[in-house]
Formats: sequence, C-alpha cells, structure tokens
Amino acid sequence: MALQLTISHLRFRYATASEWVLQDVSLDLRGGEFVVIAGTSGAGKSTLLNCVNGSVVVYGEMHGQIALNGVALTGQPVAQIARSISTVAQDAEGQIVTLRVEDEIAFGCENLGFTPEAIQQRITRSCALLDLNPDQATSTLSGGGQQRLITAAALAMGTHVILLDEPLANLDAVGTARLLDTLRDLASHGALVIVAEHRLDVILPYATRLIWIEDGRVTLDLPHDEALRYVQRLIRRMTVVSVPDRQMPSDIAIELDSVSAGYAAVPVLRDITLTVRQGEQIVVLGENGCGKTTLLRVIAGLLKPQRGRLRYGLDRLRPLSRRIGYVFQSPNSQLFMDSVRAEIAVQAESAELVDEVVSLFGLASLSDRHPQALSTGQKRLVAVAAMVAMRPDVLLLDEPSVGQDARGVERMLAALGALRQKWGLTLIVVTHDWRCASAFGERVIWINQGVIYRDGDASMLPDYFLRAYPCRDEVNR
Amino acid sequence: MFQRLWLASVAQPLHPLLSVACAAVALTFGLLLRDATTLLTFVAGLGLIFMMVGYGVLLARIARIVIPLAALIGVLAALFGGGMSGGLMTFGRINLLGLTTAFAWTIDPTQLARALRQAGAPPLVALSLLITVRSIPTLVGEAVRIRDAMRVRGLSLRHTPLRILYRALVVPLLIRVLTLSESLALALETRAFTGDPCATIYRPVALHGRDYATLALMVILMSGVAGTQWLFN
Repeated sequence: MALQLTISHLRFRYATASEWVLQDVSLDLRGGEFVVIAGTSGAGKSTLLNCVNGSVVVYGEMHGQIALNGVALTGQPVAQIARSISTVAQDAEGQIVTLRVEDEIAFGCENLGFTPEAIQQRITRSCALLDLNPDQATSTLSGGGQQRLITAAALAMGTHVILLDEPLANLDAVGTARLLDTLRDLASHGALVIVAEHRLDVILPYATRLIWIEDGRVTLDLPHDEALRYVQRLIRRMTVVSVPDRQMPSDIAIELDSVSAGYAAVPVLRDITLTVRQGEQIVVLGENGCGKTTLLRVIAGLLKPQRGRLRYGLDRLRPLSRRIGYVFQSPNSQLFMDSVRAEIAVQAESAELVDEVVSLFGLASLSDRHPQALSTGQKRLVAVAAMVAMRPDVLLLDEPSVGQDARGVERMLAALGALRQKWGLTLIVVTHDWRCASAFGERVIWINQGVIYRDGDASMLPDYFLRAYPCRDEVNR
Repeated sequence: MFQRLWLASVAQPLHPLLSVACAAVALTFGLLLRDATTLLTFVAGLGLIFMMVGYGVLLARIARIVIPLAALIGVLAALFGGGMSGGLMTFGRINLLGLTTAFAWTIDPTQLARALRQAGAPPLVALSLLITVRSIPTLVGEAVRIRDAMRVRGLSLRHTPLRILYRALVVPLLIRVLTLSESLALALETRAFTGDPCATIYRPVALHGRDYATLALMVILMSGVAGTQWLFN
C-alpha cells in the first residue's frame, strides 16, 4: 500500500496565546513526494511539523485528525510516532545527546531495537551520505557538521516519513546539495519527505510540491513546475529591493596584512591580506569551517591574529565596539533586555537614532515585546537593529538571513541600504544564502581552507553557487 | 580536554565499571593504611599494575605533576609537626589520590553509560550521565558567546550599570539552558527513547583478559599489603 499521511481540519493554538497558529489545515500527502512547506516567519510551518510528530500537543489545544496509512496519530506518544516518522528539528546543537558521531547515529536505532550489526550498517551508510566521520567527537563539529549529524541520526532510523525543520540553515553549498540529493533519492524510493524551509530557490528544484502557509492556513499548494515559476517571481522581487549602489569612497576602513588566526595551535585563517574600503559591501563565501566566522571575529577584535597585522582606518577616537558592529550567527546571546525598544536603545548613539532604526527595520509593532519571545527571523532583525543603533562604521553580519522569510530579508536589505546611503556604512556579510549574497555582493571574497581563493565582484556568485546546485538554472531560467 | 589527553594515552582502557571499582577500592584501602612504608609500598605496587596493564604513558604524565606536588606538601607536613613519618604519609596519600583519580578519569563516559545499562541500571541514569558530560562544551561555548556579545555591544564590567550587566550575563545563559533542555527532550522523544531497558546496546562492553588480570593483581597486592601490615602489628 502506498504511504499516505492525511491531515484533516487541523487547528492548533498554544496555551499561552488566544490566536490559532494553525486554522483548518487539510492536506493529503503521499509516499514519493518531496514536499516543501514555506511561508512567512511565524506562519505556523514548524507548528505543523510538530503537530505531525506529536511534540507540540502538550503545549496547547489541538483539533482535527492526523493519520498515517489510515491509523490515527493523534493522541499517540511522541516516542511511538517516532517509530514511523523521524524528525530533524531546529537547534542542531541542542539535539545532540551523545559524545561521538557514531553513538549519536546509533541512539535512535538502539531505541528501535535494531541489532548491533544493522546499526553498524546504518552508521556507515549515513556517515557516507552526509560526509561524517563516525569517530569524531560531537563537541568538535561545526554548525554545519551538527546539522548533518542530527539529519544522519534521523535518516538512520529508516522511517518512511521524514520531517525536517529548516535543515539548510547552517549548511554550506556542498553540504546542502548533498543533503537535498539524499532526500530526493529517499523520496524517489517511496519515502515521504516534508521540509519546512525559507530558501526556496535552493530547495524547490529538488522538490515535487510546494505548500505555502500564511497565517496558519494553506494558501498555495503547487506542483514542481508551478512552484518554480512562483519562486522566480519572488526572486525578481528580491532584485528590485536590493541595496542601491553608492559612490565608493577611497578611505581604508580595515586592512589585514598577512594575517593568520585560529584557535589554540590550529590556524584557521592563513596569510590573509585584505583591504576593505569605507562604504564597501562585501560578501564572504566558503564551505563550512573554511574560516569565514574566524575572519569576522578577527576584524571585530574578538580574536587576536597569531601572525600578521590588522589596522583600522576608522575614527580612532571612538572605542572599537562603536566603530565595528557584529551580529552573530545565533542572535540569542546578543539579546538580553526586556523589550525590543530597550534592546535597541541600550547602547544607542542617540534617542533619535533609536526612533529611526525602529522605523527603518519595521519594528514599531514589536517595540514592547520581549526580544527572546520573538521568532528566529525577528530576533535577528532586532539584533541587527540594536547594532546599527550604535552607529558603527563597519557592520559584520554572520548568516543574517537564517530563519528569515523573504519579507524579513527584504526589510533588512532595504534598511541597511538606506543607512549605507546615509552614512556610508561598510558591510561585510558571511552567508550561504543566494538571496543575501546576490543582494549584498558588490564585492565577493571566496575563502577556501583558510586562504582567500578568489576576490572579485558579483559575477563570481554563479561560479560559487552553481557548482554545488546543479539544478539552480531551473529556477533562473 | 584533560580527559581526551589521558584517554589518548591509554590504547585500551579497562572495563569502565572495573575502573570505577578499582579506583574506589584502592583509594579507600590506601587511606586506611596507617604505616608510611606500607602505604608507599602499596602506591608503588599500584603504579606497577598500572604499567603492566598499559597505563604506563599515563602514569608518567601523572607522575610529572603529582610527585613534585606531593613532595612539596609532604615536606611542609613534616616541617609543621608531622615529622618524617607524617611527611611520608602525606606524600603517599597525595600520590594515591592522584593515581586513583586519574585512573577514574580515563573512563570513557559513553562506555560507562553502556556498561551501566548492561549492569541493569535504568537507561535514564546512563543517558543522564552522557547528557551531563555533553552539555559542558555547549554551556562553555555559550559563556564564550555571551562574553563576546558583551564586548561587541561595548559592555564592560567597569563602565556598564549593574542592572544592564546582570541582564547581559544571566538572560542569554538562562534562555540557552531552557532551550537546551527543550531541544534535548524533543530529541529524545523523536528518537523513540522511552526508557525501555530492552533497547539494543550498540557495541556492548565486555570484560577482557586484561580486566581479569588487573582484578587478580589488585587482589594479590591488597592481600599482600594487608597481610604484611597484620604481621608487623
């Protein structure tokens, strides 16, 4: 019998909220499908996945039915549902239970009662599929490595339904292509793959169906070809709002001369020579672990170069933290005040700038909300806004589009573009996201194994992205 | 980090439960000895067993740190009222403590968790052990991120009001601990963990010849030392 997951008139609301996150969602999903669930931030994508795996039920009120092959899942314990549906949730680091890669992959299989021989086979296969070393300590994995590990652990359980919540968030181009190939292969062998994801241009070429959720309702349900056309329209809209050009001043903002840097005795960056001029807009690309974040940390003064010289050509009367703003990959550690407005105001240059930033980033309606209670995309927007309110000369952004829907990315790009026009803000952006790279990439620096492999303009972008995504031209055609 | 270093120095660690038992018994036994010569003989014998079962490199590393420290404290103990005998007892006990602690530190937590499950301990106990060890680098990483976040926001201990400083330190850490526990709970459930004691154990831990040999040598050593002490008292 072909696999069938049926969701009928599903409604859900959290115990702490009066509004329904999901409102009358009905879907009929079949084995062999690779379904992408997309929509704006907070639209209910993760909640839908968590209703299917049963993990959200204890947090609120759920109505409707979810059935797998005619058997109701509603009311079953999560661990029971996990025997037929595996899940890769967000926060990869927090989901790792054990100390070694092979043990992490084995964990789910042990709970399902597989024999040690079968577990060994699954570990070998999963590690090969997702490029993992079974003997590696889990504490030494990069963000991308952690994401690949929890995905491998879920795949090794061998269920026929796989749910993935933003699995591409920390993956580089090669890791993304590898994962998507694997998922497409699983679907082609009869599995049902359901992925909640914002990076539609990357994932849709692999998918068979797009489901768009808006305010808790399914507003679009498109097959592959129509979905691609829909994304084309979204990409064109992105191009319209990309940051406007600006006459580039010639003053040097930052200069790295033969800089090597790393952790303990291990050099991550080697012999980096780079000049950043004021007002420049730079995108830094490269595979996981190549040294992109290390470069930002060196520039921000958080990591001292082991060798070489770093010089700032900025207004030296202001402290470095005022001249260089840095928004981390995960904004949680940068948000600590009790309201969005207080967060932006805490180290702001002036009250006027706070008002301007709140308005520019479209945060007026969230002003009184607690920053930690916002969605991932909204948190990131607040972290960028708080940093911008310090009026830095240079702003470093590490993966600014993770967790952001197209609207959030557009808003951030427009705000940063306006500030760049106004005071010549220099932007250095690390990203794996085509949307972000194409919008920010006036100058593109490609780092490979700790050295600058190429330094050029936006024409380099297709070389980088197309090499890993052979299907991307389907979207761009 | 230290544990990785020590583990790397031992090619084949002993059975984890045997390691725990040996460390605990040797420490208790050694602390009960009241004669300096007997204690030092016991410590030397323990060191010899360590070397015989493949812990020689580890022993050399420990000795470099522990012996000078024990000698210094032993001399101080002798000078400040303990006399020669008191100094030697202190020297012997610190060496014993270093030896048995390091012995216990070479235990791989994953192996210990498996051994506990095989011994019939509830799976949740073994898992809690792993999760505790696993959480340490995550929380250390978070502490580093918080320190960096404070630096990039220009918050310093000297110039920032306490009401902001405490928020910058405590709120992100608290949030991380809460999200971590939520993520872990979700990870356990979605990977079908029910605490079922019948779940398979991938790579069960077995007792090998070396484990039996260690056990026998420990028994011989302790019997010999105890017998000698009984004879001379």
